[in-house]
Amino acid sequence: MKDIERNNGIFHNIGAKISDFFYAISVGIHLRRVKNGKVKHKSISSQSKREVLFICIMMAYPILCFILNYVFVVGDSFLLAFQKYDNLNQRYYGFTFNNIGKVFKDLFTEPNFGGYLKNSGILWLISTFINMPLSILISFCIYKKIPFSGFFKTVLFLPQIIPGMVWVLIYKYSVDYAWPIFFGDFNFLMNPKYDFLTLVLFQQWLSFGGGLIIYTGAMGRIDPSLVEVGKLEGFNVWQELWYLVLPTIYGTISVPLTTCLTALLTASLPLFMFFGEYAREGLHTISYYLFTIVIGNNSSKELFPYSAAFCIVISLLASPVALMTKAFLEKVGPSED
Amino acid sequence: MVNNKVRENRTVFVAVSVTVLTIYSLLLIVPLLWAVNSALKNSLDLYENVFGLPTKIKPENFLQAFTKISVPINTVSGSRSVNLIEMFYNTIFYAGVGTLVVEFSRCVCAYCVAKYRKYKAMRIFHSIVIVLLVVQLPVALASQIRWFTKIGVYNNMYGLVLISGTFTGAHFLYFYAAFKSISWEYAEAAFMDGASNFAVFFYIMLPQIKATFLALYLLTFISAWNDYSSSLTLMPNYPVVAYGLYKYNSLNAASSVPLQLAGCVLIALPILILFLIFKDKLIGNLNIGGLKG
Repeated sequence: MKDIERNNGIFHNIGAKISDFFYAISVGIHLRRVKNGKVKHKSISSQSKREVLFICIMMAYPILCFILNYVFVVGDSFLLAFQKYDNLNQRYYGFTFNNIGKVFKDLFTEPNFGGYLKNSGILWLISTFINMPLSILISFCIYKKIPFSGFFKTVLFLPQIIPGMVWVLIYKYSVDYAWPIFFGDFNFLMNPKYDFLTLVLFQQWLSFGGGLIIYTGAMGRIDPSLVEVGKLEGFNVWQELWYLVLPTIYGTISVPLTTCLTALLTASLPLFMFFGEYAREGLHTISYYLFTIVIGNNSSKELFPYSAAFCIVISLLASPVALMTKAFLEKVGPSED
Repeated sequence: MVNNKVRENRTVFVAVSVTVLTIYSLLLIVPLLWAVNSALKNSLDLYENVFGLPTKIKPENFLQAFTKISVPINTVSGSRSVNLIEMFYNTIFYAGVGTLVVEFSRCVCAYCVAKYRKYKAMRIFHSIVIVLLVVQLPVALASQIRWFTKIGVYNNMYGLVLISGTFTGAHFLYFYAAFKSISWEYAEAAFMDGASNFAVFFYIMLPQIKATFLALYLLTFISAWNDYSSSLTLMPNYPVVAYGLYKYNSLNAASSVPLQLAGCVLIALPILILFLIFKDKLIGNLNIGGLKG
């Protein structure tokens, strides 16, 4: 570990020296130009012009990318949602509200969608009311520097580091090879009675350390004098968590809550990694359904407008809720004072 | 009396948390160790001796994984197979360069917004980023495919990397907070020395937030390395390692399990080493704050 720190220190020094070197060169050039009388006094307006030029040059590329990668895609989503597909000429044409109408009809009358919504809802409830509090609690343990917290910090973050596909394969093959030793030939993943629960447990197993970076980062910025005051007041660990830590990191916790409806409608299981496009109907979530009508063997260009319409409906339903939730959370949230 | 109670409470807290986290850690580590151990066996050995050490260590599984784990792709000149070596190249380019493009774009924009707030456009820009974080505009996958095909970047890794430099997302706020915390007096002193706006940004401001930059770069790099869906949806002819593993498994589920587990180890190892080197820079160094704007 010391070697790593030393290496980082070396990198830091080299970086600083390179930066200093170039800065010294630019100052040297400037001084020479001043000496030769080539530098004119900069007026405020010329400084502003230089600043505007700097901003334009620096931001031109990101803005261009934003337009190409986001604005046009959003625009195309709106366009596509109101188009029909011509199978004969293989092109999208016309203007229709049928796609949007079908989405609403499916959402409220199609029995399959009830199942998708139920699955998505269960996943959202678990991630919001079980996973998030447990993540905060785990981060609090790390923040309180319990014994071996450095070790736990590393291990708990492993699921975020190692590719999901690697975990899926390890899980699949451990079910095939190792589980029979304990459970006989009973395969939880292939049994319709247990497969949903098994996948939920798999997902939760890997996600408790997910908030570690954000939550420990926020907790690390709690004013130590506040903690001292808590100690003098005789706060125990739970009181410290409830009265000091949670109000201080409230801003961080409230971020995922603001997008709750989007999260609810797009909650998903790693179905594609486990089953590709052939997951059992009873396991489907809305996001899996939307994904498989665009990608894979069940996809069809005819369904592209319907999938775009679905995205628009999700945005229409979720955006006002997000704004209202944000306003509500800001109003009811504790003040850091 | 109160102090004793507090101490007792703390002891219970420590004991419970250490026990629970130890059990959870074991649940994560044991399957990984099992995978590494199984990757060194042959198929029969794995079947007959599930938990034991390999009767004969087979390190060649790892060498074979590089060539045997492959994914078929269709190009204009016909179909061919992409092996793990080529997939590593794709992943390194896609994750390494792509992440640099996107994080540098966010960094530059956050700097302009944080330090040139006197311009109304910058304040509007800041509001746009925050609104886009809260309000989810529709980005349909179908439209992405249609639009990217139209502009020629669909199934083109280099094109996709080139246009990936958008500034939106939570990372913008991290950069913004980092630049906000640096005093502008450094810049004013540099301007007195004759430094340009570019020199101030590259030689004075950027070096001061390099810890934040590194942490955010690593976070995005890790998620890009682990991302299998980009190859699946937008660049099927440029399979990255995570997608390669998925595709190989779905096409050859019955093939050698130790070989696939060796592939898993090879894919996870570089990112694991990177994490172990930089973990202190990653965890505990970032603060997003709220979404007030």
